[in-house]
Amino acid sequence: MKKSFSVLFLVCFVSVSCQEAKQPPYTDVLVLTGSPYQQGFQHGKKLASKIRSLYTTLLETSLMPYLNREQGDVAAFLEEYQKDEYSNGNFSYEMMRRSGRNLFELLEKDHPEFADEMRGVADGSGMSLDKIIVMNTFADTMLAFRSVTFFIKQLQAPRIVQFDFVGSVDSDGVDNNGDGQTDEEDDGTIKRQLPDGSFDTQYQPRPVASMVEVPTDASIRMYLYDPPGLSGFKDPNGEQKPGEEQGMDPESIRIQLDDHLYTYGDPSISTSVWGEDGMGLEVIFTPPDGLPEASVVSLIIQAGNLSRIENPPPVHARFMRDERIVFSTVGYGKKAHEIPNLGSWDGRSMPTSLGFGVRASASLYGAVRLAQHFALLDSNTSHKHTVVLVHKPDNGKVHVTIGWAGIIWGFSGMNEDGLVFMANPSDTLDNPLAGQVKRQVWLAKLLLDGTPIGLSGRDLLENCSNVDDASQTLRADGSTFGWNVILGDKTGELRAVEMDSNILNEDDGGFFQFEPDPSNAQNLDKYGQAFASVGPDDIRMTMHFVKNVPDIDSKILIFDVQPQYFWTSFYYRSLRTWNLLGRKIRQNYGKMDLKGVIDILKSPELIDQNDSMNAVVYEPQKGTLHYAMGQEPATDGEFVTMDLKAVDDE
Amino acid sequence: MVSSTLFVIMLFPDVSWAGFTQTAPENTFIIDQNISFSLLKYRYDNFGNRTTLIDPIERYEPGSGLQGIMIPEAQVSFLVSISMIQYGLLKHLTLAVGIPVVLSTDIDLNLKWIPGDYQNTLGRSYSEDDFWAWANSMGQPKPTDWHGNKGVLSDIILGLRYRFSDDMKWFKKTGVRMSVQLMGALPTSTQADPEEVASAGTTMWDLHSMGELGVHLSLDKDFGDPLQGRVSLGLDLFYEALFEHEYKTPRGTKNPLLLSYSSYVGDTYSLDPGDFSGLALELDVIALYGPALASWLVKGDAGAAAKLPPMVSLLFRYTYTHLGQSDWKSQSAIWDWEREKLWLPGHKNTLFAKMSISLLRVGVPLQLYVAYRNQSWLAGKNCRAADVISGGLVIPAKFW
Repeated sequence: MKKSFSVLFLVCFVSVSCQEAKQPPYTDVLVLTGSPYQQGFQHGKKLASKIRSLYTTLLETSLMPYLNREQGDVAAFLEEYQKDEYSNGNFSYEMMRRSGRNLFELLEKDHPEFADEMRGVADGSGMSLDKIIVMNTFADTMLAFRSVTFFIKQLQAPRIVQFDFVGSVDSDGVDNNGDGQTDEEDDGTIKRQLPDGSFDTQYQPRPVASMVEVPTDASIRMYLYDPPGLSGFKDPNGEQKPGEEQGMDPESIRIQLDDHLYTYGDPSISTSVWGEDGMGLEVIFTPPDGLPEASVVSLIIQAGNLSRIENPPPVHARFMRDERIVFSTVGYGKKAHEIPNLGSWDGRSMPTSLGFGVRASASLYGAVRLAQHFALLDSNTSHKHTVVLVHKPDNGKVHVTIGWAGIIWGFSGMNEDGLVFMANPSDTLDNPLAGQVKRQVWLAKLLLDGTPIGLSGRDLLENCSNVDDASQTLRADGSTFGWNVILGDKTGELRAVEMDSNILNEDDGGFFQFEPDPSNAQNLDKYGQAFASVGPDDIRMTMHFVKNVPDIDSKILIFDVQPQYFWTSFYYRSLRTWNLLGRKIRQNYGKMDLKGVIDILKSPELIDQNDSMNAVVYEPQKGTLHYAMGQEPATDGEFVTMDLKAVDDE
Repeated sequence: MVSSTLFVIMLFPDVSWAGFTQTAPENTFIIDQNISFSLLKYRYDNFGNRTTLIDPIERYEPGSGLQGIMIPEAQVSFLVSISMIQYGLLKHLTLAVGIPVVLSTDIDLNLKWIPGDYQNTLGRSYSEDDFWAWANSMGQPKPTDWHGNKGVLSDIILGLRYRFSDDMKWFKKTGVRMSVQLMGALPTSTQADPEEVASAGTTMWDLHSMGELGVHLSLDKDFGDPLQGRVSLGLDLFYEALFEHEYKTPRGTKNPLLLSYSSYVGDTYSLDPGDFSGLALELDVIALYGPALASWLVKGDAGAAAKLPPMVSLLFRYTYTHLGQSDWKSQSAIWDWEREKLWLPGHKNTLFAKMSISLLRVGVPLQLYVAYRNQSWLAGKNCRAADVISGGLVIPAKFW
């Protein structure tokens, strides 16, 4: 008895010292077979819990409440969104649901297989079809919606109207501003090139240096203006809108010169009211120690107006986007287009999504490799719901996509024939939502059309074998937004495609392609440089257009609908990422094996620490992929190898 | 009352004055009324580092960097009344009933804020007020301190202790006593309001100081010369289980962004807390025997008074408690893990000291004591370190 009691005690001790809980897998691998509906049903049934979890934590309690804050701005302009069904916090859900339903109806006609697959996911998971549609279309809708709202904000925000370098710029024997004239009176003014090739003195953001050979004792003068906004600062009754006040706030000035920040009150900054209506501000910045000689210098400018807007909270003024201007100083010697707008890191902006492909001379032993690090929205939840979906359709090619639970597509994938697809968003107002506003003005509804980019990817992976066919499929599907796509195949073909929705029905169709081959003029810019290659066998894309420039430049009603480089907050982040990535590829040219490619993805300066979502390397000739996800950032984890051919054989 | 005073002298005829194996004399009641105040400010993480009860929360605005870091330096206090009655069923077999009533619980969140990155849309970093204005615009109010559990019953405790060594020669010869104790909890407590970010129930899980069913095997040894019987050592081995219970899942009715779980967790979830096991070492010291008066209590017999408990005694105890893994079971393995990772297997190191003053020897049928329990001085692992100060009085009584 005594002995058995001791044994019992021992068992108790042992039993509590084991069974330590383990983190459940944040990445699931699913092999889906059968009809589209059957594939969707298997997906929904297997991942029901994660689908619900992702919907709640990413959409219901994060993104939707966040977008609800935009209702005021949108409803002030578009009547539809003043209706009751959008009230009580339903704005973003209803907006996304209706846009998703619109896309779903188009899919029923053009790609019924994807509509069926979504039905399968809904039935398998027990979630409503509406919610599954929202999950599968929100990325496209959200990005287009974000563009419109961001643009509306920028319309009402201060802006730089003119930017000058003051000093001996007009007597140095150099065409400093690149307008083709030397030492003209305004040679120190950054100029905008108009469609007819002429220049005016309106400030224009640039992907390269805005000025060259600036004297080291130059001062910097900028004219900032606070526009009256969408409908002025007064309501229809002539009353001042709450919190709105036109006019620049000099105390909001922040100037970062390379790594040093100067703010209002610093003796190097002087300000004075400017403009006939007094709503502008002249700012003169004289670097206290002068400018470094023979260098590339970066300036980041920020300013706000006098408004103190309470809705949406917190109380805030209207602020311009951080503008980054790069220039060279006397003795540097390079032309403006040879100096990328890389800039100094501002200490907070994260790199954007990126993708690149290498082959032949760029890659060790000439192997074809394509890589992507997708970063957009993690919210401390997306990375817990990642999925590798292998589709073995009854009719079509076996293919794999890298995505999330409940979503039947991914931003990248590969098929059994070695065709690879990778997509990154590229902000544009050439999107269906802006198109609706153009056509129907204040009666417009924010309804997306076209094929969601991930489903276009599925379409081409299921039906195409090579880059040419895939490219045609992409064009035929139409674009829901601005997308930068890299296509590659096992023959070594690499192609970049920049797409927008072509709401102005321009001849280019909103579809721009280029490849690394420098012998083809279609792949070169006006300076004869490859659009996105450092050599003959590589290509890269981030989140801005390099060929589709300007993506749009028009008017809707009285408003200038500007190109992406004027307003998107991704622009300078993307430029910096793109340039850093190019530098990495150049440094490793000809040496990139699998590890080399992964090492580039793991470069700290290329990793968004907050919103990284997945990282993948595709080897189309081997039919293998290597993915890292399930942690934040994705590249912190090991790259897991999958042999698609082996999966196909199972 | 008359009978109780008459037979007080029989209360401690031949038992030790302290230790794990102490039992109430046959047919005798010992009434113990205790008030405890516990304060919980820290926990020990998986690496044994002292940290805040709730991890700092980094908040990011999509695409705009770090909004700030919210540091909940929460502290939780419980004021608990414990009424315990022991009754000697047999000479060496005692039944005990404990009735814990939580008089109040106070949770002070003490939310601190470290501003994050400069936000170009604001022209400044988020202040704490900025952040909560932002959160409020999305429907999430700032969580507030919580005060509740005013006179709420916890689980009633039943215990049975049997000192089996008294009639065995070897034990008598060596001065060693041994007992076995069983204890169990009746489910009379109240669960916390699931919709509150900060709230506490009165269950054994909330109090986290003992299990719902336990067994103890204990040993005491008195030491005679040269310590003149002033010192006793004790050892207690124990295993206490906490049972699986079902809880309501928050629906987000009060905190829509922080507590909207039910849509993917399910309407209810189960929690099987980790069991406790371990050992305690105890040193009992007689600080002062005090006078033995020939009082009314001993019918004027000073010799009998000398056999009563010493006037001042001290108790020092160290307890090592192994904590088993707590297991959440719901429809979401991810949600379960988010909780389980804070309750991985671990341990607590508890120091306990008590001073008792007995007035029996001077003719007053009363014992008073103060005690202090500390879990924050010695590092533990995956545990909350509650420190408790308590005081009480003990009245022996015999009615037949």
